[in-house]
Amino acid sequence: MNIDKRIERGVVILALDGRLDSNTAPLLEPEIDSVDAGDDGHHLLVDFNNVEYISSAGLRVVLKAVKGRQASAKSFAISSLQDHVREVFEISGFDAYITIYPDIARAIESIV
Amino acid sequence: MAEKRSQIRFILRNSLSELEKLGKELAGAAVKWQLPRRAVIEINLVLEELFTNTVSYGFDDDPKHKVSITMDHDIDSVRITMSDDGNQFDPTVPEDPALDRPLEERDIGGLGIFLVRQYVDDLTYKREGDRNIVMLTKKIA
Repeated sequence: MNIDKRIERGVVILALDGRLDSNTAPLLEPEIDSVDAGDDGHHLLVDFNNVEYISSAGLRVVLKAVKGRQASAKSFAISSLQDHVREVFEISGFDAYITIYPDIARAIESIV
Repeated sequence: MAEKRSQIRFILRNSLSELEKLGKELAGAAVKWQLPRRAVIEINLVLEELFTNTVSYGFDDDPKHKVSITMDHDIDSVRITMSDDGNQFDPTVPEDPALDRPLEERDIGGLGIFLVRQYVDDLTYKREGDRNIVMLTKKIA
């Protein structure tokens, strides 16, 4: 899985490309951790436009990110979920805790 | 009575790096049996969760073990048998992944097997000697 990182209007965007499974989830975790969530940090958006597969390992990394930023100055959200990925988030009830945007553009508009 | 099509069998070493091989074998099955894309994704998820559990909890870090997988295809379903000689683990025992709890109380425990049950139509387990044998059926739309 590739992770493309860029900053747009103060939001760090991690655009994922590939599968988010037990093997690749460990690649995402340090990328998320490296984005400072404090007052001088950045909002964080993980984009799933090019992710057609997620397993519980991927859910775990996302859940950890949500919990980690609960009390922080900067927010966390995800965007562009494909059908299967969206279904897995809904089945597991994670969609109740996580802000989900239909695409990056609308995410940026809402976050900034 | 549906005729049995040809069977696919493969073996994975007990290492998460074998998930790539799992994906490739499933891709081969998808082409051979013309499986719908969504079904392949869901089967991949089911097998990954079961395999990850086995690798993480089944072998006490002993590298010599293997997991064997057999796949059969009938007209409207795929049947998969997954077998290993690891510690006893029964995925049919219900776990509560705490779906409705607040965020602070959620962790990832139990979620993998919970997901497995959402995406199979039948799941059975037996222990034979020193082997775990998991059998599942997934209807293909």
